[in-house]
Amino acid sequence: MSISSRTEENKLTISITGRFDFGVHKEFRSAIDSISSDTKHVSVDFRTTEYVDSSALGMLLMLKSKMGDRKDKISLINAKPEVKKILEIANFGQLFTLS
Amino acid sequence: MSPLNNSTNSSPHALVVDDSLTQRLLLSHMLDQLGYEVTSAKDGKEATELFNPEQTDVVFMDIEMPIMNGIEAAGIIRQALGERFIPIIFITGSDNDQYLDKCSEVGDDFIKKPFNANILSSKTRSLLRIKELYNEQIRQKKEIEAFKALQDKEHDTAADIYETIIGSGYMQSPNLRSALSPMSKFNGDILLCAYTPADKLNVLLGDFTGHGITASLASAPAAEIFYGMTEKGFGIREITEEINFKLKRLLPVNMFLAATLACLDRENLNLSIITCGLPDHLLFCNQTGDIQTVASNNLPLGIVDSSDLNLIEKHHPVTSSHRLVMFTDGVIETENDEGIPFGFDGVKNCLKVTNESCFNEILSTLSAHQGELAQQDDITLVKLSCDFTPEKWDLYSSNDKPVQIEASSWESSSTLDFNTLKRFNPVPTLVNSLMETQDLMPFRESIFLVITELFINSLDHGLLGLDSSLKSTPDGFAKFLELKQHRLEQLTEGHIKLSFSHEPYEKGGKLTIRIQDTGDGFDEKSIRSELVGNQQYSGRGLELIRQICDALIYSNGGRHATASFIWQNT
Repeated sequence: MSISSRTEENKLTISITGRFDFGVHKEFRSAIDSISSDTKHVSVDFRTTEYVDSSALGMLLMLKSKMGDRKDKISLINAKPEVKKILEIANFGQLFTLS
Repeated sequence: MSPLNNSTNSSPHALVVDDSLTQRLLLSHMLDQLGYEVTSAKDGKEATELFNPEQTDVVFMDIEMPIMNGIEAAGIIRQALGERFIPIIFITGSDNDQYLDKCSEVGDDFIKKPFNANILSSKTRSLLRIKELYNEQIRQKKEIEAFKALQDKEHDTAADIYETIIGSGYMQSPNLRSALSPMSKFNGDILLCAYTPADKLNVLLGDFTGHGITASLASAPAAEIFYGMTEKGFGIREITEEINFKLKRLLPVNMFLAATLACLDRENLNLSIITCGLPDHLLFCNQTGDIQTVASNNLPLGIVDSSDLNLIEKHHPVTSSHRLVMFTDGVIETENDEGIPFGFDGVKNCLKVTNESCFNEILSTLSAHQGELAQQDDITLVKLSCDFTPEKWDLYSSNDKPVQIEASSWESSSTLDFNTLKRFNPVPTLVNSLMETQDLMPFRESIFLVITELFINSLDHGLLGLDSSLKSTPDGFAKFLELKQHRLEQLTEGHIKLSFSHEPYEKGGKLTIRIQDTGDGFDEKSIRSELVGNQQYSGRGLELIRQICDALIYSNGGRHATASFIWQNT
């Protein structure tokens, strides 16, 4: 499994291992399917993510759309410099909390 | 025990080939008992004549026979079958093991004499099953091939349409060099360029999420907006906002356009850039070797509403030695055979003062880096030279067609308050509305220039009180634009009124343009002197208006200006 997710106290954490690209599209979709109206916060953990491409950015936008008006409750965390660079080029700091 | 039925549900058909009448009769009888219809031949030659690929389901072939042996006959039958498959079973005695190798090249199985009914039955059943599977596969393969041929044809047609849309307004510029290598017929990357009526060069480089047809579908509306608005004289900020607005509505949530829009302004030696999610660009001066990194500082397009976009536009003072190098992520992500990406530094290292062409250098270095490996993404590399010399700058050719326009009399005016002025540049809309009231298309560019210059003077020096001496330093224009943006945002009162009147005059007509602002006024001479000592390619501003118009009068301390443009039928 390159994508794992767990929910604790209405907080969903999605961890991505290896390449975050179109190949994990289905897994990511099913991970965000668990978002409900009770979900208060989502963290996407990039600690073990090696690569992010534009379709991955698209998946993050799907996550944002799924959270609706709770979009400020999404954190992208632990990104390595090369992954962080991609998020910064896309200026995703305007849409998500980068930390 | 019933034999496996063939596809037509009738009895399966066997061809028995043996020079021994006894063996022929024995095998035929056994097959008959198993439910086969049997044809028999007494040698290889007769077998090839009796064999019917439409009818025969299985062949039993003796090896040693007069006239033509079994191996040769099997070879001929195989050849006649082409892609189709019909099992050929060799009949072997204990004494011809030496043929086994040869037989296995053209045959599918062996059956030993004396025949055993059970073995015969199970062998034929399993071979016929293989035959059905094989032929089903061939049928599917043909279906896929037919489908692919149809799809290729549709792709070609779609690619033609795509080319027409993207290429329709495409204006070549000697200042723009590009290498686009899409992974499929449809490119996820787009490059567009066009001149505004005020002789500025607008360029758009974009990279849609994904590749192929899905990625390129949305480039059509983006291209139409780019060409349409550039032709009408809108600036890159307005064009970017409009493309964003359109794509936000069109694209699914997970798709967007990473893009950069650049505007090269020869009059002010300025390059304005709006970067939205593409990798950093490099602004390189091939005289000094100075390299500036132009980082992306806006969201890609099609994600948020235009009102939330808050575009940041950067202004760079440039000379004819400056080159803007832009590329999509395919370039920096191209890996060599050790998996190492070309990288940002890969591009940067190619930019050296001594290089005649940094573009060729980047291309050849990238190609050497990629080596024999297959392309991994759409690759687009663009070099925009800020070369302002006349031979590198496409000048408008004068329209030689005779003018035959009927002049009419009319008046109109628009008053734009400070809030409207913050939001948009009214000139393109006003000019288009003029063209609809009185067809003056052959003079559109001149009229556009006059109204633009009058409006900008009124806004910059009148309403915003900006001092034109700010522009005299090398990076003055960029600072001037930043201060202008700041003052515009702070503006809390005032308006500009533009009035147009037109009447028949001599062999054509006379268009009178009046502009009034509520600012503190300005000395028109200060602007004129600014132009005299200005950059070598200027010649715009009030001087240009005086060249185009028959009269230009400033009054009321610079708060009023009146220009008349006289045109004639030819």
